[in-house]
Amino acid sequence: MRLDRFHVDAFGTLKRFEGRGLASHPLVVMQGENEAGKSTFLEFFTSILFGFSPADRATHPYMPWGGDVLEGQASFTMSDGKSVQVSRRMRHAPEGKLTEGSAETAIGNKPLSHLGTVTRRLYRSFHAISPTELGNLDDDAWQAVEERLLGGSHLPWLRTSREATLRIEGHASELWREEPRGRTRSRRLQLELRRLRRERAIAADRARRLAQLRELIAGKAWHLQGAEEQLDEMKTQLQRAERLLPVLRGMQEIEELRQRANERLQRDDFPADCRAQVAALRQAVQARAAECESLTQEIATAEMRTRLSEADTSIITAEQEIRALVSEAAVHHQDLAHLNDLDRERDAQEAVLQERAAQLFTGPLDARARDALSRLGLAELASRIKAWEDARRQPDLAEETVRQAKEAVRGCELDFEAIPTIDTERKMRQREEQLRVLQSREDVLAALKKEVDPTKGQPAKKLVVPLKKPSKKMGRALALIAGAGLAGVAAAMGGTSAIVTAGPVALGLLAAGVMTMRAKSEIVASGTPDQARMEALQRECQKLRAGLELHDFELVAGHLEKAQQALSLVASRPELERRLVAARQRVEDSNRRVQQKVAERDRARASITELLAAMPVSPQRLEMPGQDLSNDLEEMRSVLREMTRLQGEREAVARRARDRETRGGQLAEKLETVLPGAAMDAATLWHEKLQLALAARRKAEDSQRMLPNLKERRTSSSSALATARTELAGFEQRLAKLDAEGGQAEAGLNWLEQARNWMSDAEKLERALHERFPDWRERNEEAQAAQAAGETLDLRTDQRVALSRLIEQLEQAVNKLKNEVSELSLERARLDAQRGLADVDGAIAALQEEIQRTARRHDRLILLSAVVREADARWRERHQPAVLNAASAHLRLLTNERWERLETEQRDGQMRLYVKRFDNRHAVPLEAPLSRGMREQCWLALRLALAEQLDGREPLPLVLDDVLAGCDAARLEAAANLLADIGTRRQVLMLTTHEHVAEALRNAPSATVVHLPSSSAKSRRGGKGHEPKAESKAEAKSESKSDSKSESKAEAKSESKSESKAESKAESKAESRLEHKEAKAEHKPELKPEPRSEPRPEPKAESRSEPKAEPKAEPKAEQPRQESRPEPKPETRPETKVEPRVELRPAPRHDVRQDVRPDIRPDMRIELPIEVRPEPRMPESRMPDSRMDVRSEPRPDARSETRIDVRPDVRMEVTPELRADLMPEVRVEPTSDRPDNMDPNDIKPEPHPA
Amino acid sequence: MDSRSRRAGPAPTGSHGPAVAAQLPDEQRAREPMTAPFRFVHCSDVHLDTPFRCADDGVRAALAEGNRDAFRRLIDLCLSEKVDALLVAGDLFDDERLSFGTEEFLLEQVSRLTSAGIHVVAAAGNHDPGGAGLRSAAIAWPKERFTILRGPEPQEILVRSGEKIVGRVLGNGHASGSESKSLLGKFMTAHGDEPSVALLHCHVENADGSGNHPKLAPCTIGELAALGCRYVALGHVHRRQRLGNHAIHYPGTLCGHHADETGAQGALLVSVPTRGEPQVEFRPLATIRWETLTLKGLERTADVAALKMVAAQAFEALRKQPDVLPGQQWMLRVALTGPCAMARELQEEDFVEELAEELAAELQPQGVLSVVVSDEGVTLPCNLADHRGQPHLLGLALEVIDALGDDAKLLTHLHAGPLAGMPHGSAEEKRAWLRTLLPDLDRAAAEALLKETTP
Repeated sequence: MRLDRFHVDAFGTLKRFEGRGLASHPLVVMQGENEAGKSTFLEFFTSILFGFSPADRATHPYMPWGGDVLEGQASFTMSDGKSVQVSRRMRHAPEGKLTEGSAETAIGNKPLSHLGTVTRRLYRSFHAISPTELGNLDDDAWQAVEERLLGGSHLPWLRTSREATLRIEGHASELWREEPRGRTRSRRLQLELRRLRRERAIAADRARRLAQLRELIAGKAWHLQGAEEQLDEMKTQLQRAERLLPVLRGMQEIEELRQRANERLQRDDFPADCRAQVAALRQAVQARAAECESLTQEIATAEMRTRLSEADTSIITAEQEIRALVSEAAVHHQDLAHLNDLDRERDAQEAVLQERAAQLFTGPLDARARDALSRLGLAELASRIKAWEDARRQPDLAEETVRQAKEAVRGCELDFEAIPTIDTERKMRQREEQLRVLQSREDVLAALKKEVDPTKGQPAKKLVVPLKKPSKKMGRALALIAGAGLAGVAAAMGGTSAIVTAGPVALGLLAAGVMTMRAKSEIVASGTPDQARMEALQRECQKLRAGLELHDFELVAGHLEKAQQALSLVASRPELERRLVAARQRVEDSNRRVQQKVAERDRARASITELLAAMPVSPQRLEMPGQDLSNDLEEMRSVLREMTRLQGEREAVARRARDRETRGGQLAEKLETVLPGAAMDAATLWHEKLQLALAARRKAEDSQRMLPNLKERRTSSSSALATARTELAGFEQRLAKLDAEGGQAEAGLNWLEQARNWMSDAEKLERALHERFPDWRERNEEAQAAQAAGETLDLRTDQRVALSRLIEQLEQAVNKLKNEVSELSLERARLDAQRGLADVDGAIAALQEEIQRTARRHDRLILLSAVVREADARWRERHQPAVLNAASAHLRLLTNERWERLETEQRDGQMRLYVKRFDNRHAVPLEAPLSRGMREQCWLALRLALAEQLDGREPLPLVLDDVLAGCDAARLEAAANLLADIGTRRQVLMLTTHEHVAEALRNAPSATVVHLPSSSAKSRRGGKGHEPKAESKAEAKSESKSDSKSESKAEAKSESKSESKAESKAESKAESRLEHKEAKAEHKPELKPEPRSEPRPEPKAESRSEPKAEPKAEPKAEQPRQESRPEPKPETRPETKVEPRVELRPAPRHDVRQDVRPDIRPDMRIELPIEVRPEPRMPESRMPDSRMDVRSEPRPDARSETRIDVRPDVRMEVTPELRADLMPEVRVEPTSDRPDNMDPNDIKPEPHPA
Repeated sequence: MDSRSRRAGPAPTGSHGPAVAAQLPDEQRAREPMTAPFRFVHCSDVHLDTPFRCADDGVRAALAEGNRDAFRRLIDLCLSEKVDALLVAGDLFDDERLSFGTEEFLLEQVSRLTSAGIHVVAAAGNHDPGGAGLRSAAIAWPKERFTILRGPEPQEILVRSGEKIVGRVLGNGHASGSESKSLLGKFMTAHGDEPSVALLHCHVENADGSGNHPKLAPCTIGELAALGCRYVALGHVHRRQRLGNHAIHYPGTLCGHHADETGAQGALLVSVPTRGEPQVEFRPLATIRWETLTLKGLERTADVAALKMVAAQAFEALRKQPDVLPGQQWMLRVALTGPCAMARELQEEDFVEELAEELAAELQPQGVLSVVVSDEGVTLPCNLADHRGQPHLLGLALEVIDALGDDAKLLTHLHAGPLAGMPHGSAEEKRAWLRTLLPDLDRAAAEALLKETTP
């Protein structure tokens, strides 16, 4: 890619500045004064390639003053010969256009695709080089260099060293870290191990407790066993006593009872139950005595009963009468009750009769009425009522006939009224005729209108035409035929009505036809046009409508139809008249029949009234006598007859009752009895007295028969009583003999019974003992044996109580011990069921094994990471020289082979650059006291070599901003040759303010010079741009011949002036502002400004350098001319120790001890082709010692990493001795003897320690 | 007469030590009446209630029960074989870890033997020392037909069958857990007509696997052979072996305790005749067996199913070994080695654990209790020869690794950082530690540096 043409419309201070035909020049020199716009052009060129940055009009530092649009174009020639035009502009937003041949592409603010993976930052780092940036490479740029040039992992299938180590160490840090940070796997395992160890301590305590429990349980068990043995012994003793003693005592008691009973019962000849025997004897005596007494009393009673009283005798005498009355007493009471029933029934019938009479009659039911009612012929009454009911409905039927006849008359009358009168009929017929005429006229008029009106369509014409011709040929005939036809029809129909109806129609038609014919003839005859006919017809129609009182909008056909309907009713008039006369006749006949039926009905009613005249029947019932009247009368008559029957029956019953009362009175008088009530009421009393009297008579008879027997029984009973009393006295005497003390029979009896009870008790006890103790025999024997052995079975109560209490106490003690043992056993079981020491120790051992395994994995990963690092270091060591070889070649060209090559050396993990002379004897560190110009040339050589390795799809142009200011003429020429050589592969744009530089480069092959617009001219022209000059080599030579000498002097002066201006803050405000903005826009805080051009050094730079010597020495040291002074004074060179070194920063390393989260690092940078990765940090152990003396010997085991890591903060301790050693050589005159013909600008450094 | 003087003096009459027996004329030996041999079971290192190195609680409980079950089978063996004695050569249990439940179990099982008329002679080992105040002294051992050798003082136990003495057991034990001196100082030599058996818990120099155990009660094979016993029953080293050409035996542990104690474990059924060589027969008793399945040739094993199938096949082959007991249970360690297509997946801890769980679940019907998968030797399936000597990072890494084995300076240079496995060792110890990490490191480097596969 070569720049062929450019045009700056407006960009910073540049306006309408352009250059052409540059592609053929490998080296383009752009020369101008200070503030002419070199940096602006560099930014313009960068913006053409990569777009505007920042892409904001408000903040872009090169936005022209005065509101111009930031705009420019450039044309490039590619390596394949094709031309590409790029146009960029920023109004409100960045715009870009790429033209390749005829194809235009909008690229916006994107970089050109030809740049490939080269980013803006990379380009500015390697292809656009200014003196201030010559020795600085920011981290990203350096990382790109490492990855793309120095790294050994650029193979697509291989991970880079950084990737691999990050991955491995990341994995390792997940496993284990030395610092107790984070939750590594090892950390988690350690925590778990700690927990398990705590658990083990608990388990150990548990084991100790278990041992204690074991002892405790054993002790308790021993005590328990002793107590239980003692308890068993006591229980045995007590149980033996309790088992044998009842049997022993039972046997003793039985024996004692038997012995005592036997002593008394030796004289026993009494019966078994003596007391019962005594009682039986006593009872027999008492029974005999009672029997004698009873017989005596019975004899006395029987003697009394043999005698009857007088009352009983009289009653027995009237026995027949009493029995007769008693037999009729029941009938008498029934008759009395029947009388009451008859009375109640009679009263009820009377009430019914009165109720019916009240409903039927108007007056009371007196005797006459009762008699009439009893004699009433009900059959006659029923026949008369039947006749009346037949006659009652006849008048109603006749009246209905009359009503129907009247309705028929009214209907006929209404129909007749609807028929028009004669006058009305005549008027209607006239109106109908007029309507017909009017309709015919309007039809003709409509036909004419259709024919005459030209605006009407064809159909109208067609309608008109047939009307015209018939009007001539057939119209007249049609009308006549129609009229004649109608007339003929009317005549054929005959009759008045036909003539009346069809006649006017026919006449109308005939008249219309005649009128039409007349009108036609008039029209034809007069030869008037159709319009005149229409007007005549219209007038006629209006006249007819006025006569008929019709409006123009009303249709004639409707009125004509109404008129015809009205006329059709006239025909029915004669029929209606006939029907009316007949209807009126039927009305009169019906009225006569009604009167006849009414008379018949009245007669039937009168016959009924006559039959019932003897009774006060109510008129209402007589007005409408029906079957109900007959029924009511019949019911009343039956009630009356029932009442008569009841009265007869009552009289018979009353007569029989009176007869019985009379006979009862007579009996009372006979018995001389006073009756309190009716005689028949005493019949029952008399009957009872009779029964008592008869019973007394029977008892007397019985007593009389029993008396002899009773007296005989009393005699025998008295003898038996005497025998019993004798037997009782003998037995009691025997018993009394047993009572030795008192001689009482009862006491003797008791004495005998006591002995017998003792014997019985002994037997009972023996049975009970045998039942309770089946083994009583063995127990008895055992007890006898025990007693024989001297054992005391029969414990005393206090002894037994004491023993029981002791047993109870022992049992309580045993239970307590058992409970304690049980509790302790439970605790032991519970503790034993928990995790034992072995289990916890197993878990701990497994965990420790896992920890060991984790540690092993970690260490293996760490070792692997170290291996990868070592391999990377070896690769760099072996392959980095490719870049250094190229840089060395450039350096040889630049220094006319005075300096041979650039080399690197690893010290303390950092890479340092050295430069070797042609004799390859000395390796001088690329730092002070090596002269600044020499160092710049070394850096230039290195940057040119690096730039050649970092290209996109095209070799990109190099833009060098005054990087050869420190070169003398010889090296300028050499540089020109070098740049021309590079220019064969890539175009070189050289920006310079120095005329001599431009002059020197102009001599290079195919070089050209472009003059930037002068700042003075710009200021004179108010900042307007001007046309630059692009000079060919020949032109440049001719110009250079003319004033090369003066220019060189002037250049020296101007450069000196400009430098002094820069140092004395003489930069214009606009320039400084632009620089400031540029610095801000670039966002390169790591790019330290060159202290030489910075009026106020950065505080940080101060802190890193020697603070004492810097302030005064630096401005002088920055003047390039001072270096070339033939005799630089020592005091003017103290800057050698503080001169900022142009250093490549070391590639930082990843600190594995830090828990780096790659995805959230704030300083993560993304650039192609560099992958996104965290910025690794160097471990503290590998961080360079900022106080390390450069003279210190390198460590023997230091690895020779080929990374060009030069420590930015390494300070050389410049001691007075060292300064004394260095300064004399620094002050060597150029013309003085130099052992190696070294360039006078080059100092002689210490030989390389290596 | 102390043992020293005995050893120094002539061998007693009737001694049947190998050296003495060899001096008897064949005719004289032929004339000696044939008596019943001294038959016993020799076991050691039962380690009841030992901590099993296993992370799973349930499996650990099963292992403890398996250990008790092996001891129960040992008692069954003694009863079924109707031996004269059971000789336990130390470490019957782990001192303070012995739970009371296990103690009851132990006494119950021992009582089965003593009640059956079988002598039990147990030497205290370093794990169950017999000193006063220690756990062994607190156990209510049976009063009859049971002898425990509590300390270094040697004892002689006459083993009878009925009224007749069938053998003599000479032995001692550890009074503490750190008996660093030899126990043979006061040990008596064999004497009497009956076969003499020495019972010791000691660390024999150069015994196979002795490096894995503390060097307690050290002795040599020659010293043991000089005792003149017909059989020397040893304990302490857990690997079953016969030492030299003598009848000196380690029976190994009764049941494996961790992944390194692989193979069938059990006891020795020994018959020592009055003449001739003792007959020693190994009887497997461990119902739980630790084994390591080393799987190689996994270059084409690209998924879990294939890997499990390979493991299952290897396990099936293992189950067909003759010394596998019916109903054998297994503690498997599946060691994946060499190039494997799943090397990247196997770097994930979770994946490996999940694989182990799946394998355990799949092999559980075959009696597998637990599976541990080791992937330390797994690498990507690539040909390292293609990269060796090549001018790229991997080639140089392989070059560095190849040089690490011999270049101590380089090894020192590389381990600048702290080491998790050797945080406080000396430089030499650290280098030794690092050397243990070197196997297969070249393949690990290839795995770390290669993006996918070899080009």
